[in-house]
Amino acid sequence: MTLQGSIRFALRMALGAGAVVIVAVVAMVDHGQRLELLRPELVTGWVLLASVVFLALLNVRKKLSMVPVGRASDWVAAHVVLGVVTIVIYAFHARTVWPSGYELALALLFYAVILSGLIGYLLQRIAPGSLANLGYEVIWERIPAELADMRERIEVSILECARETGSEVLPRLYREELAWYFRKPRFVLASLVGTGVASSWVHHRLDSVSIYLRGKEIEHAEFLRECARRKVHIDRAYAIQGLLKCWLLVHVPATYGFLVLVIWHLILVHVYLV
Amino acid sequence: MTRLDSPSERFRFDRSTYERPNKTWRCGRAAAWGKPCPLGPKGDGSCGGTTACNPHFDEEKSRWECRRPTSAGGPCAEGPKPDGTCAHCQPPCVPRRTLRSIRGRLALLALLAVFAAIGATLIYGKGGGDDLNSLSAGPLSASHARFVGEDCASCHTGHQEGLGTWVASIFHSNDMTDNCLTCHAFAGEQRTAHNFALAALPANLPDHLSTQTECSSCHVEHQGLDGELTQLSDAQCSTCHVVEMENFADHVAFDPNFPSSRRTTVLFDHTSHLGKHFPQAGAGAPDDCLDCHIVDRAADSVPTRGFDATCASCHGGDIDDRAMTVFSMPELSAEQFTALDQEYLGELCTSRGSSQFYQSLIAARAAVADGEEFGDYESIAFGEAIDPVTQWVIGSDSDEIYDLPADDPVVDDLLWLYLDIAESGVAPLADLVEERGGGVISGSRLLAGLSDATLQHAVCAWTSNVEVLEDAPLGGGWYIDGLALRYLPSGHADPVMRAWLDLGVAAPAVAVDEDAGIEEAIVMRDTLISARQGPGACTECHGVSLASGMPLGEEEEADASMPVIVDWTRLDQPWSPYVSYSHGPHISLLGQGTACTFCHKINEAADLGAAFQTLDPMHPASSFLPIGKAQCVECHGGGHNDNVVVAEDQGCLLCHNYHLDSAFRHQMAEMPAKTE
Repeated sequence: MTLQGSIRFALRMALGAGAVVIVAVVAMVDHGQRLELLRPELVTGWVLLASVVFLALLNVRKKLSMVPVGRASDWVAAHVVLGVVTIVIYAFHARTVWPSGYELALALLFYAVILSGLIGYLLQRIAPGSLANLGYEVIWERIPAELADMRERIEVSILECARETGSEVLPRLYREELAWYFRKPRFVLASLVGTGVASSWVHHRLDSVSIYLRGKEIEHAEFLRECARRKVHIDRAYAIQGLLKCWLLVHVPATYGFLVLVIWHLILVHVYLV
Repeated sequence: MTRLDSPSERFRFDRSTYERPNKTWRCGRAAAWGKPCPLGPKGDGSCGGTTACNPHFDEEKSRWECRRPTSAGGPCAEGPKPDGTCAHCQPPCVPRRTLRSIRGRLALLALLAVFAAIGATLIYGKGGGDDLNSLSAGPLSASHARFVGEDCASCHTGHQEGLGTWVASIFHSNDMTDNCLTCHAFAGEQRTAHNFALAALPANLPDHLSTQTECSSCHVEHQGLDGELTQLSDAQCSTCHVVEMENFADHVAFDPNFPSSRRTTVLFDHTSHLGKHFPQAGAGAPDDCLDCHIVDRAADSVPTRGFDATCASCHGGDIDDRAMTVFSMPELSAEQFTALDQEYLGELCTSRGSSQFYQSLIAARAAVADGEEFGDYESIAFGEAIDPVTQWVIGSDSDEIYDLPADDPVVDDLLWLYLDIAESGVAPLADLVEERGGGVISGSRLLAGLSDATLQHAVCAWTSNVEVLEDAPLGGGWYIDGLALRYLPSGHADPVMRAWLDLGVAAPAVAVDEDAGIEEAIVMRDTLISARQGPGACTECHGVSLASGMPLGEEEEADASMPVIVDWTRLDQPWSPYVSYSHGPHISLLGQGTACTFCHKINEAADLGAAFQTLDPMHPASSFLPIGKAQCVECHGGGHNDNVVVAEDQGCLLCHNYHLDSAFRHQMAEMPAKTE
């Protein structure tokens, strides 16, 4: 292990140890205050607020990438660890799964943030490996251009085939069936799971006409098969990368709503309870 | 032959564009899975790709040059038109937002939604009630809703007093417990744990538990109309009382004297009565507990039927036998006798013409004339000692006044008392007794029923050196017995007898206050409350206890003048104010009568009388064996006993109270019904 690797490993260990210490301290304070008939909810509430604010700072860190405030990967690691700590502190604070009144909305938003965060964390642990195993790299934003480029080349090949052989077998197959497949990412769910449905679908159709192909037609058909193989990779990359981006559509808005409601909750507590 | 690009070709600098996912817009053609134009959307979201490029005018060459990017094929062969516009035009697309921009929009939407909800709460929510109203913590319990209605400001002072006050209240503490105590009151300290007196609090208790306990620590409001504020869980008790129990079998052992925290106020020895006296009495004796105890009114204790219905058949005669001497004629010397204003007495008294009187008066005057102050004039009280009550009444420190000179204050006062009684009747004696007793008991109570004529007749006779002999009245009352004014109690709980015993036990303390006649007061008290010889035989059964009700300390044993009281009433004092036990349901469940012995087992070795030999009321004594935890576990043990009905309810609050007596500070008025 390199020195840098050792430092990062030590940092991760410190993060874990820090999390355990925070949880232990909160648990002790909570227990102690309950024994003394105090309101541990006030302490756990403030700690919860502090941790939530720190979690939200990750977004600021991403926006201020030019400011040297630590590596983004370390921030993400801290975000994940503190996120888990926050779940525990929340359990101490709320002491119920389904509170009543507006606090139910607060709880639901918290659950949305936490659940989406956990899903996002799992995706970030699993998806990169799946993408690497594809053997084909594609940038998510560039997938439409890739597909358009592929279609252009297929259409050139089909026209060339018609011109050279005078046969309508491949052009007709493409026009009536394969054009639908190459139009946009298809079989997204199947691609996400990693089944061979899409590949079977294309090859089944090409196989069904293969006995009618002769000479140059066979070469053009092979080109179609190659495009289909790449399309399968692109579709899978689209599905996986899409998931990696879409969980934030829940996580980030729910966080904003949660933060505002937390502040409102804080105000109400201090007006009516404390 | 057409072929696909290899990976290295796809990412060549001149073949691929630089993607910027943080931009707000993306090409509409790409959004429709077409080929995006190289220029892309403009910053304002309009299409920027209606031409293939934006031609550049080269000043040196003085002509327009194509600027189509290499990734889109490089400069076109046609080049820009003469007016500088691109030759490759295409219809505009409708750019779409990028995923990042959509995420931002959703975040904004979430913010607005929450703000809108909070705003709606502020505008419409102050009335409370709605579950989604963030200003409402939920409906009140029925008991509070009845008085408070929807007036949140009754408890939450920051509510409904304007936005300024509302905001300011964020920074000011709101003592809810103080608000609770506006209406609720408890015996003992208001804000200590269990309303303990400050001095009784454990020394290691945190400060805030000493003086700042919060009602809301246990009582949680806003649980709805059905919310039971007083139904607390065992877990709440276990917060402080760390002995946690799964069932009653785990309860700590009872005190070895339970349930006798002190002796009873009335001495009734169940052991001797049930074991000896009742069998001897035969048919008239009680058969079982129900003959003496009224189980129909059983609550914390089971009341008795009273003396007349239970004890009187055997013990009624004991009271009638014990007359009380309130005042007796002391022996007067010849000098004292002649010092009486006989002329005036002669005017007041109608029957002074006896020969005995004149013989005595002549003899006494002759003796005085001869200088023999103690000469014999055949006094009717010759050799009689003054009884302790009279001694206290006239303020004499001796049981005779014979040897005192006639002008001694004690003698002088006594002679004047005779004159006053002869003149006014009972009133002078009543005033004197009330004054001597420090006003603790009124003279009219002490001498209730004594007629002026009776007393005047006695005084006129005594000052004439004549005895009066009357029979004790049937049914009790005042009478003159020779040289004494006596009272015979009419029966149990005779008010005059009770008044004199109350005076007797109070007299030493009064004497101590006045620093005079302490010894006489103590002797009088002891005479009146003597169980063996005391009048009315009251203290044979009624205990005499320290007035403080506290245990008797060793140093206090020697102080005979300390205040004591006669325990007139049966005291149903629970084991502790924090322990409650209801006999009713137990009797109903186990059956009346014989079921009492299920818990109350006679202690054959009990010596209840010994506990009444001391003034210390806190000496635990009972005719019954102590009740241990095992007795309760028989039924409340969480299913340990298959022979009896098992009580499921084993919670702390089944037997324990948190507060001392709770009450309301104000008379509550219900809120008027809400009209639409």
